[in-house]
Amino acid sequence: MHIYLPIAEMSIPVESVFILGGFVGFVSGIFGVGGGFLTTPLLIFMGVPSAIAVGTQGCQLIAAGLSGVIAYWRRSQVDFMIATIMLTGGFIGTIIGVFFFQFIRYIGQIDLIISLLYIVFLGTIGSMMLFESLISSVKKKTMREEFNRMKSPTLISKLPYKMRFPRSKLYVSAFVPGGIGMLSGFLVSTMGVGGGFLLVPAMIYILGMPPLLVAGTSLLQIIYTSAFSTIMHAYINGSVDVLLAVFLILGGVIGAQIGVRASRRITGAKARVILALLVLGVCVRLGMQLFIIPSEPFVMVEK
Amino acid sequence: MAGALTSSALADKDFAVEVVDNTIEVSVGFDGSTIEVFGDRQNLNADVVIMVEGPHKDITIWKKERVIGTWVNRYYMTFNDMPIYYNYASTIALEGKMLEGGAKDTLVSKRIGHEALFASLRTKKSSSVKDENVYKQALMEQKRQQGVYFDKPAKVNFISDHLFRVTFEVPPSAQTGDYKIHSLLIENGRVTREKIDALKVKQVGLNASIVSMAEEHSIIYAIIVIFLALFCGWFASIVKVRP
Repeated sequence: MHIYLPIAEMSIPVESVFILGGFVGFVSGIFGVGGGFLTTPLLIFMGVPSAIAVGTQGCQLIAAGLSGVIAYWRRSQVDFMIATIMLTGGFIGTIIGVFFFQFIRYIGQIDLIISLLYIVFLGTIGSMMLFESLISSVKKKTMREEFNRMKSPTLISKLPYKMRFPRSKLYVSAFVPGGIGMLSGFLVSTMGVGGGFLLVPAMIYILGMPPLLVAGTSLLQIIYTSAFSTIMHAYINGSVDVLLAVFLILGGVIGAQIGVRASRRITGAKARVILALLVLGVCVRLGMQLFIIPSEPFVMVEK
Repeated sequence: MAGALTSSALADKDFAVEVVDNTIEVSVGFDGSTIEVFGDRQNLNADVVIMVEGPHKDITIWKKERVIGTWVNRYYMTFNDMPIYYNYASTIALEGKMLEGGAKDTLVSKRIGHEALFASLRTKKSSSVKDENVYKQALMEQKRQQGVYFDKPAKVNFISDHLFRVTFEVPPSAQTGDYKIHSLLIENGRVTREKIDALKVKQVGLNASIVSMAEEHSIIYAIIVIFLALFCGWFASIVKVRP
């Protein structure tokens, strides 16, 4: 059954959108991460214009984020102050991102830049994850000790505008959460990615937050940032398609349920290895398109 | 009979053309449609040519090339003011050398036939583009894949020796806007009758409301979408609690 997306002005099979949302929800349910990195490239592959894929993706991040945040909030595992500071950075990052996005559209190099951003982002994160999860399944304690020693390098403690964050028991420059938030805002508005991959390690190792608080706080930040990104994209680019969003979210919610149930069977390092491989797989596929041979030598753009 | 009222020539018994439906309504379940045209001509030796064109846009074709090992959109050719949908039907072949004289000139000036269409377009291109045909081919190919340009012209089906009918296919991913249907009668190598009908492809119902809100009240639209997403997220968390 086809539906005609009002903003994208194209017809798309509903089942495909549903399955896409479901698959991504499933991944997020098992591994506890956004899955946005999968949705955007897959949407573009299905023929949705990249601006609409990125602009609409924000909505899925909001929905997935909220259901996660509520669970963490119930267990008092959210630091609202850190989230607020990160949010301020997030606003700035989103604005930069939306205009950057417009610019690369204008010069006609949008597939190139988005692919490059994805490859760098996914490649770095995927390799780090693979490395970490392979090692931790071999030498559990030593790795953790080493990471603990890496916490709070001295450069960061020299930054100004220090603030107290009682919940996380931190006294650190506001620029740190602000900067992390800014990067996350940029990622959401240019790639439609929640950035959880980046946020979580950054918050643990650079900011020095207690790991228990990180997941809930980062999700809260993603919700705010994605909401802002949605507003900006709708206002400036007119690229948010509500019908597409609704079907993606519906599929995602159902997929996540199944994923959470499945996650009880696969746990720990094994799961993280699979996730890392998935991330690297997408990265390699994009890399092949960009560096080896593109599937389509000609690209058509209509204005 | 709205079609007859918009014609640029007086409706007459020698040549009449009627578009069955001047509006194609695109709703959520839109899966493609057709443009049906009926007509009548008295002179049995006359030829009939009907062309349909959609709204105009500037369409750019980029050619990828490797720059420092990376495939980049390097060269481009922009075709200005090009119809996003283009189809025609004719009782005689237009491409090639079948037509001579006055009729051919008129058809070319009206951009009927792919050769005429491309010849009429203003273009802009990267300075190093030498082979423009490659870009034209690429454009045609992409448009054909979208279903808005066609390999072969549509057929003029004669119901009787006077009455004819043409069906133009409109794909599921048709874009909205004002379409024009040009009908011409060719007698003894000259165009003797001409008629232009308007057709509108527009979104209706839920789709139309969404588009108008997104365009006119974008921020409120975005806020509604956000709340919708929040609601779904909240709902999902409620459902998850149950074991």
